[in-house]
Amino acid sequence: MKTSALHAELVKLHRAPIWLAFVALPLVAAAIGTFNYVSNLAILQDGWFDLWTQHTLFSGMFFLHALIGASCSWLMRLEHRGTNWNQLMTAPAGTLRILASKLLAAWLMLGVGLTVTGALFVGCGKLAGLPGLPGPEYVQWIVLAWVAGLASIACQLLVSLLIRNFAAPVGIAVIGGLVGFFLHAYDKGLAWPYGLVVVALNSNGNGALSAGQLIPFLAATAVYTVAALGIATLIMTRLDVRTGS
Amino acid sequence: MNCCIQTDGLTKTYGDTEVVSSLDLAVPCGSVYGFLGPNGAGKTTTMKMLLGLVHPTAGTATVLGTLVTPRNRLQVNAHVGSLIESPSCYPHLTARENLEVVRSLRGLPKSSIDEALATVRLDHTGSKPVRAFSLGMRQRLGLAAALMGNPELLLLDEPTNGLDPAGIQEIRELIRSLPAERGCTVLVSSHLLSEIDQMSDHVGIISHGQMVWQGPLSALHAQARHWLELHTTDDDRAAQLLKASRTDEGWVRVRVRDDESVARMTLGLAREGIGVVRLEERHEDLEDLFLALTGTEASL
Repeated sequence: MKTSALHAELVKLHRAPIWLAFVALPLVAAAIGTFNYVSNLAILQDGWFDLWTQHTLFSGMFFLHALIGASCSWLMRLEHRGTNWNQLMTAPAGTLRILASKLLAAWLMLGVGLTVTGALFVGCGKLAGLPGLPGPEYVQWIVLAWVAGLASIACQLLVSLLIRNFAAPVGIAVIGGLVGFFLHAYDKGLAWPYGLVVVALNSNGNGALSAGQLIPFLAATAVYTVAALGIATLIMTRLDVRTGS
Repeated sequence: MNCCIQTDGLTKTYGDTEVVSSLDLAVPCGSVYGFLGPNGAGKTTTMKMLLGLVHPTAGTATVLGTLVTPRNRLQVNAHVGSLIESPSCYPHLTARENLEVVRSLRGLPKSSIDEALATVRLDHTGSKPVRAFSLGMRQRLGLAAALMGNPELLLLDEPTNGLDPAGIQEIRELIRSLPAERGCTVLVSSHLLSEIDQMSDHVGIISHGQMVWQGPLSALHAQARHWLELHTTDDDRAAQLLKASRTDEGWVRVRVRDDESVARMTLGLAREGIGVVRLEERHEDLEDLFLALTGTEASL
């Protein structure tokens, strides 16, 4: 039988309390965004698009990165507690495979978070009385944000590998998201791994990714992801396994 | 002797402190090897080096005929089960889910979970999360994880920690039976001499990171000094005639010799009109030997 580090990670997600955050945080972001939208209808007259910018303004700037930070902290803290690194590192699965499995698990979790974000966007829009349904471009933005999330996740796994505490890496993720948001405002979103999600979401209404921007966007995502994963693998293979926290 | 574990000058240094010093460990295949030493002697660090969890500062370790290196660590560990420090577990999962994690990581069949749970008698825990388990139940779960897939070699670090007396006995019997029933070699560490005495057939005693004694347990027993203690109708004269010492309790203590010498001694005393009323054989116990070898108490 073939070993499956990814299946092992997915089993660990059973009844995981972290799932609560994946409903609560998008809900808070949607509530704030909808409240802003409804309160400023006089100036926000672009229907679904204005609701989207209000929703994702907070998601992109703050909540999605908090979610990424929390999921990575949780996935790494599972191993930091007790002697779990011993079990994981004595299994016949390579270090890169173990980290890649955590990356994929966190990516699937982000997929859930973004699906909830999308569903809340549509639900809140209907509650706010918007006509019809949002166009397919919103689905495209969510999918691109999911792809871009790989870079943030890889960086956060590295941060959570080095900082064994739960909250500090989440704080770093939030700061990363804020820096990304401001860099995107100056059209430098691709220069920072945490800026990619903001770029993909088009949350400040600067304009969606064009076909020409797609290649640099995907390349930047791949470079940040591979670099962060590579550094984490190097650290784990070179250093002694440390247990307990 | 065919060894499943062989180390050569294995050394680990943290800063200026050498926690394992030039250790030459030789664990014969098919044995239960008791790795004995006081707390902090370097047992866990040695076991971690064998598994590739800790990189040696110097020396080499050969496990199941393969030199352990960062590159082939996975190949070697595919045949090794381990329980190091304390049991690894995810508290929000059930025992079965925890073993499902191990099964997936090791690429074992589904049936291995039921076998492992039945072996450590945790098959009744159902949907109870591990966070609600006692320390003893967690220890059993850790053992189950180590036993999964019938590894050729088991490394168990103080496996009876937290178990109740019945559980300790049960796990000792299980460990003792592993070589015969599963063809498995076991390296089991403990700071309890009595435990190693009951479980193992080979023993290595480590103190301050250095191997102070290694060999078959029977050879360690044979090293123990033997003597006779007797009470007679006139102990003072008997001690004088036999040039023997007296114990605090008043016994006459003589060095044990062969049966013929003992017979000659009792006949000699009888000829002097001294009757032997008690004659008991005494020997140094393993705890005294452990104390002499490590300079510490037998159980710390």
